[in-house]
Amino acid sequence: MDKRLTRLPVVGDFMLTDTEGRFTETGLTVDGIRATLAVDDSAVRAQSEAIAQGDVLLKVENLKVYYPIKRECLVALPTM
Amino acid sequence: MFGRVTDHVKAVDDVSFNVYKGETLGLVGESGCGKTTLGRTVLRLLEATSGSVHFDGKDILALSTGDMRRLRREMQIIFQDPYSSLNPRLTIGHAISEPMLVHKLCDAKTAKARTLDLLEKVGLKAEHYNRYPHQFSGGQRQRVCIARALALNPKFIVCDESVSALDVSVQAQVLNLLNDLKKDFGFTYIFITHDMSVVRFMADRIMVMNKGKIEELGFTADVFAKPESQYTQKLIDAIPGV
Repeated sequence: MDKRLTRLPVVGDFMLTDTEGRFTETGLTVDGIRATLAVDDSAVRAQSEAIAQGDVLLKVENLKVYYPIKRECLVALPTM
Repeated sequence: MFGRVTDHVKAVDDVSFNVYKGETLGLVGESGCGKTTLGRTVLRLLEATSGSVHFDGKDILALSTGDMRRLRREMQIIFQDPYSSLNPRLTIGHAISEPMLVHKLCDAKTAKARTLDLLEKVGLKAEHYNRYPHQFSGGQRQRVCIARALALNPKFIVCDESVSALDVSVQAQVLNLLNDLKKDFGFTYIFITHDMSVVRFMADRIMVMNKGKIEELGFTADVFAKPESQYTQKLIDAIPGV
């Protein structure tokens, strides 16, 4: 969570399966693989800023979606 | 039927924002905050009460049904539940090629060739073409749904909790796939999720919603490093640690 990763580690990073279905551990640790995949936040921010300087694809303005709450006037009265 | 309107549920309440070409905008918030309603309204799957939604310069809330149908090629959605979003009576080959045929983009032979290509792009095989949804795992079904969304070459995709129904190891694979496809095809995503760690990985900017309103909108790194709103801070604090 502290660092953005270029891709998320998956099971295949830690365990390989051969053609006969046998598992072999790759020896990689979670911290080790996270360190190799980590990207500097400033680089991510610079890339995002560049995108935000570009063209707008979707522009939403003052959008409201309201659903009415109705009170029924013909409600059955409880029987005595 | 004879009811009197006494009040309104404000599912989306006076929301304004932009999505830039090539961007992934993460839309986060608790269940019931209006994320899905907003995502579906910008695709005009739900009707807005008021406001405007411009897609590539066109006011989609003012488009006729025919014009909207043509525009739908460019706007797709990937739903949360891969189990219910595929027709159990259609083979996945049929499910993926159907949109191309409905929109008359190509003939059946070309649609099949493109479907086989899409299957490969999402990590499935040509031999899966004639199989039915029940013959796939949840992760594979979500890959089918992604391939179906890609079939029309959209510019813009709304991913509505698209990995929430999958187990964590499969979530990682599908998120990696969505990011790889974005690099390859240059999509623009609105990525709706209640999971802050997912948007940390996926999004360029984050928009936090609370009770139908935008609580905070900013670059992902900034929002995580220094959230402006107390509500956002609480969402970040609520991320489970390992």
